[in-house]
Amino acid sequence: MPFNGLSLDILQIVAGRHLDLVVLLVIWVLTILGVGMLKRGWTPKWRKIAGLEALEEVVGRAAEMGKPVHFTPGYGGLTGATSPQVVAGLAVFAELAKLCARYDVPVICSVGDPTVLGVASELYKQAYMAEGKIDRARPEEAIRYLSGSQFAFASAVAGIAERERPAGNVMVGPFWAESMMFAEVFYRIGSIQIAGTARIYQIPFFAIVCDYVLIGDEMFATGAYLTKEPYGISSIFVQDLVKIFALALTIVGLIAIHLGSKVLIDFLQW
Amino acid sequence: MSVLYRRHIPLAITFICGLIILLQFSLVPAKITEPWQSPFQYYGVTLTNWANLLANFIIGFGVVNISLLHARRIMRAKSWVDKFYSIWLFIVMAAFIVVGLFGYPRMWWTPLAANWDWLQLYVLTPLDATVYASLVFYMASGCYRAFRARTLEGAALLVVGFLSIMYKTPLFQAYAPWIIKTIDWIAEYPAVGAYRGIQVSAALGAILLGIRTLIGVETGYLGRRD
Repeated sequence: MPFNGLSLDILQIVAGRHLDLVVLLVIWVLTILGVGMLKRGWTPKWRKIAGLEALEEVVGRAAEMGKPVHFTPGYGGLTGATSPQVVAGLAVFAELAKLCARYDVPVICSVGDPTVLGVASELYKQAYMAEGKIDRARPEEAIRYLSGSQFAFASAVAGIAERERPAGNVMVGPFWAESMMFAEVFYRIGSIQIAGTARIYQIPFFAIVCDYVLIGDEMFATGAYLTKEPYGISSIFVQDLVKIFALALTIVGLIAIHLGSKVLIDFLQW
Repeated sequence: MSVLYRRHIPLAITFICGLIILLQFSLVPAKITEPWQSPFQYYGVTLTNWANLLANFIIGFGVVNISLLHARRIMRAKSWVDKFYSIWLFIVMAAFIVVGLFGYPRMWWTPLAANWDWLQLYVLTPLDATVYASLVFYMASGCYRAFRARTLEGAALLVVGFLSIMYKTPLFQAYAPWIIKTIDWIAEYPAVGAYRGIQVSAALGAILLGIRTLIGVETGYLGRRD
């Protein structure tokens, strides 16, 4: 039935959003069940994420060379579609800052969005506080807001690389055209590099140039992987379960569509 | 600061706001049809506007940070050469702020509006384009290193990369049309399959990160992980 003269299609919820909510609730319930299983003594088998294990290697190398470590979460902010990637990047920064504080290695965090500035600054101070070295923390020098403009930000990061020659570079967050620029500039100055992004067109660039790459869901698992607390472990386990389910759906959908059935398409558009 | 202010209140705000936005996204259409949808839409839109407003206010922090950093650099610099770029930054920043603040069209200071357009069009845009164009050199040197047949994957990359270059060349398009078909097939099937695999896993990762954030497990966005 038309409503106020508008077509029913406009009034309806975008296809598939009901299913979105149901899937989210199912994942939520499964995560809570997983926590219950963990408390009863279940221990899942962990796959090591090379990129995260290498953080210590990056800081160790910097300590030996007497040079700083550079980190950037890209110029994405805490609002908008790329914010999950920025949050994942900040989880890596929290760990990196802690390691840098432990080994007295200066860390430079290049920020391209002011919303990240305060959070990164607080994480930096917390890291130094956790290591009992708050008197050595220099957030005003370590956390640098460079520019909100993409290529001004890229130029500034390249400038930092050339001037301060960091021994290691960690880039985790959303990246666009500047990804190759960063990776190449830091490669030329001999930095060991860890990169991670969920932006699929930038992953090949990172894979070609960087030493370690966090691909797809690996970067989102960072916080849970590093803290290893029950909800985190459980959510990563559920993530793998849903991934298998998505793969099974793909195969079933392939068979169904070849048999002329649209059942799965209708189901996904609910 | 007590744990209540430091942890519980921010996490409660996150949970309530997240839930409202989530329910608005999933259950409320753009044009509401049922009375119960009104509050979800109202609060959802209000919260989104608040977030955008706050994000814009925070730009001020960025300006303060960059000003302090460069002011310190000017004071510590040993030569004028070291000071030059930091001083230049302040000059350009002041120019943009003055022209930006007083360059609003249809006011008595209207001529400045044209200056703002001029700054955008003839200063920022060409500089952006110049840096963007320099990307080609970075890509060339990256490809040079990637296209080495040291491993099986490297050899495959070399062959496909070489075919892709040939694909874009008119000579090969005319005399070796099989290259077009081969590259089209690679781009449309194996590459799309790989991309979709990464997209699915990244989307799932983002969903789980969202759930961890809602239930207060992922606290990195608060500036601490306790």
